[in-house]
Amino acid sequence: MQKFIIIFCVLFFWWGCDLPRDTKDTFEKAKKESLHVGVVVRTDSLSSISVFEKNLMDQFVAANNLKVSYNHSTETQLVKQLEKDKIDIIIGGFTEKTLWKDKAALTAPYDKEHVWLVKKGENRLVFEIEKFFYNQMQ
Amino acid sequence: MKQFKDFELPPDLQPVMKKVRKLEYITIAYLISVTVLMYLVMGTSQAMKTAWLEDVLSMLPAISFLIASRIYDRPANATFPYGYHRVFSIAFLTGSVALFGMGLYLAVDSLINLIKMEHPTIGSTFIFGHQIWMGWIMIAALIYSGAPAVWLGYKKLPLAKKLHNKILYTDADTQKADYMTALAAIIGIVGIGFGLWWADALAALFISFSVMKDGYKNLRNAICDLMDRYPVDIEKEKPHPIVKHIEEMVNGWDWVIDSHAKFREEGQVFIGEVQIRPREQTDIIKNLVKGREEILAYHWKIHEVTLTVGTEWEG
Repeated sequence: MQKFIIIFCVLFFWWGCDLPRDTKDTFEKAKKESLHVGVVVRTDSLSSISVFEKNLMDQFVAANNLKVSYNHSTETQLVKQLEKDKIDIIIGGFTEKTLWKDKAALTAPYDKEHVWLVKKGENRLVFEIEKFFYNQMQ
Repeated sequence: MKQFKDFELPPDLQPVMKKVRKLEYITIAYLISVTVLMYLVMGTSQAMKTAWLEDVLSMLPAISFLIASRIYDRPANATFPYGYHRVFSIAFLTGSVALFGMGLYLAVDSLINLIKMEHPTIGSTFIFGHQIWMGWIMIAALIYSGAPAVWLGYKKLPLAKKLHNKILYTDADTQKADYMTALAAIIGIVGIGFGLWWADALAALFISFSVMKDGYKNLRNAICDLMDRYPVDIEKEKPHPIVKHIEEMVNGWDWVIDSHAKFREEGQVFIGEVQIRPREQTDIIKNLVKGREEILAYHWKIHEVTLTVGTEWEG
């Protein structure tokens, strides 16, 4: 019995090392195919944030050897696409209080305020983004 | 008229009550720490939310017990001529309604999440520069919510049996099985970690059914008590042997032809009557007074008994 428990624990922690995983394997797929990113088109004072976050995204995909494709549209359109699994992430000046928090998962903020919206259930992707944000802040 | 006894517990059980009260205070303090911790790490996991609400609810029996145990032994008075024993039954009913209602709500909520195919997302945190997936922290919180609870449950169970106190027994019995909730929630979280979105909602559904089952069992018991069901053993829910023993004892008295005993539970004590068919030419008044004293002395749980004389009876 003891041996069984020890083997189970070792296996569990061995498997546990690469947790969490994505529900739809988005992060791994982005290495071979593409990470589909929606960028909110803004004409107001927040337009510079969209540009800044797009640059940040370029750094994130470069750091993780991912391929990326951008799709520019309005918030509502992009959230609909996110829900339909057409895109993986939306960027463009969202804060933790965003109205879309029921429709998407939020990352931790990269500057104590702004977050990215990620397809729900993609825990590895969120994990890697948060690691990238943390390293950026250091 | 002779007043009801003021204190229902015999001297040897009073320290048990004291010990139980102490354990219940520890339970509440521990559960507050669990609920605060779980709330802080809950995230969007349905299983965590369900386990958290179950922990919040599991404070109810302990709180009810502590409140009721301050009131139950107040002396009977003109307003409450039968004393305050039923305060335990009321506390038990309140707790079980809350438990059953919340179980139902959680089951529906988890089912909706399952049908909507809600994909839970759990983020990460940084501790001393190391990134840790919040799922691991949730699992640690769940272990904290399970292990000491089981210990407290096992500590309280024998005391509850000694006192024949239903709230306490239910509290101990539920806590003893608390590791099942924690384990189910842990499986749900690990499931999320492996990318199995449905594991979380399924674990939550399992937990809510267990909450509902406990609630239903307690509710049935509480209603039966308030409906004056015959006294039952708290563990097996079989007729309590004391009633039968009293009937046998009364039937053994030389001035009695036969008798019928009827008792009901009022909190942790029994109150009832014994109907007696006496032999002719006996000193009825003297025998009734003596007989009543003998029955009251038989067991501390017999709190009050009325002896009546008749030739036929029902029930």
